[in-house]
Amino acid sequence: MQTTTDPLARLAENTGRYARYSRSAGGLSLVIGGILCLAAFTIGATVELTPAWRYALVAAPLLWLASKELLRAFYYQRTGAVRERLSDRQRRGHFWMVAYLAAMALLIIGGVAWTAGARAWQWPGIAYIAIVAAMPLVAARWFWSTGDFLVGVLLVCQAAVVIVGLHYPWYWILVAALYAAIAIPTGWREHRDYLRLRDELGLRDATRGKAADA
Amino acid sequence: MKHEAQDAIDAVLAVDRLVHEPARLAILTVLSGAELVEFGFLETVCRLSKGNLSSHLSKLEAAGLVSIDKSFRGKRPLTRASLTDAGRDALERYRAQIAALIESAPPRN
Repeated sequence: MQTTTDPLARLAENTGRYARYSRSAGGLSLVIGGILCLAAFTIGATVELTPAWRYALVAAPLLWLASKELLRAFYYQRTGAVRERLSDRQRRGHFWMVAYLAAMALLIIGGVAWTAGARAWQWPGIAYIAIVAAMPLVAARWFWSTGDFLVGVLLVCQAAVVIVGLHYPWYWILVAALYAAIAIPTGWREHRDYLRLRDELGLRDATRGKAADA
Repeated sequence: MKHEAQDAIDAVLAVDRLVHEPARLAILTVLSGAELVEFGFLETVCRLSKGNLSSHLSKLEAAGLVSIDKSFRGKRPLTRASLTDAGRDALERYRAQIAALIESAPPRN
């Protein structure tokens, strides 16, 4: 039997779906991340890395994070920001993911400092350490889903390695391709779900009305 | 029979009127689906005017069901609302009461 509480439950559920685009649903930004990830590892392993290529690869994670923020603010949540309410499971998952990255970052920085000595604190070693140290902080702020984690960690690792003049071997292209194969369909599915949600919540008409008012 | 009618009336009267008002019920329901909601989204989804939404939010805040955070983004005022624990409890209680009332209603022919 349908009760008057059913439409209310649907309204709360739709709000929850919209709120996901503040954190755990990347939509098109996940598609961009997957493509960037595959492109960065392919370029890193197959192209002779000139300084321009190196800076482009170092900038790739920044470009991806910028796309995430811009899409959230000006596309997915342009009607108004709604922050996702996380379940205890999601909170725990996020906490352990950040803790794991923090532990790995500490291990890597410790290892580099131990083996490279004073060179670790000179350019470009210091840039490598800075990127590795930033990884858990970036994860705490932006990596709320498995797709974000896979794509983000690979892009940041690539940036750290490339800045010291190295690159990942060719077989990492396969890993990047696997992660892209997970991220791109997931992001596309999330985007399609947003288009449906936009119609269900009547957001398309609202944004058109606002544009007309402006 | 008289007792049943009396109970039904008591159940209707026991419904929280602050929550029962349609606009406020919509606001609380939207807030229940998220951690923090900006004014613009509430205005669009609940299809309320700015003044009307502001007035309902003030009432809900005064009753402790909603928490309001006012700040500025650049020069533009930014209002964000979230459901308090009391608000979540009140909404759950209300939904349970309405569901029970509908369940207890005699079926239509």
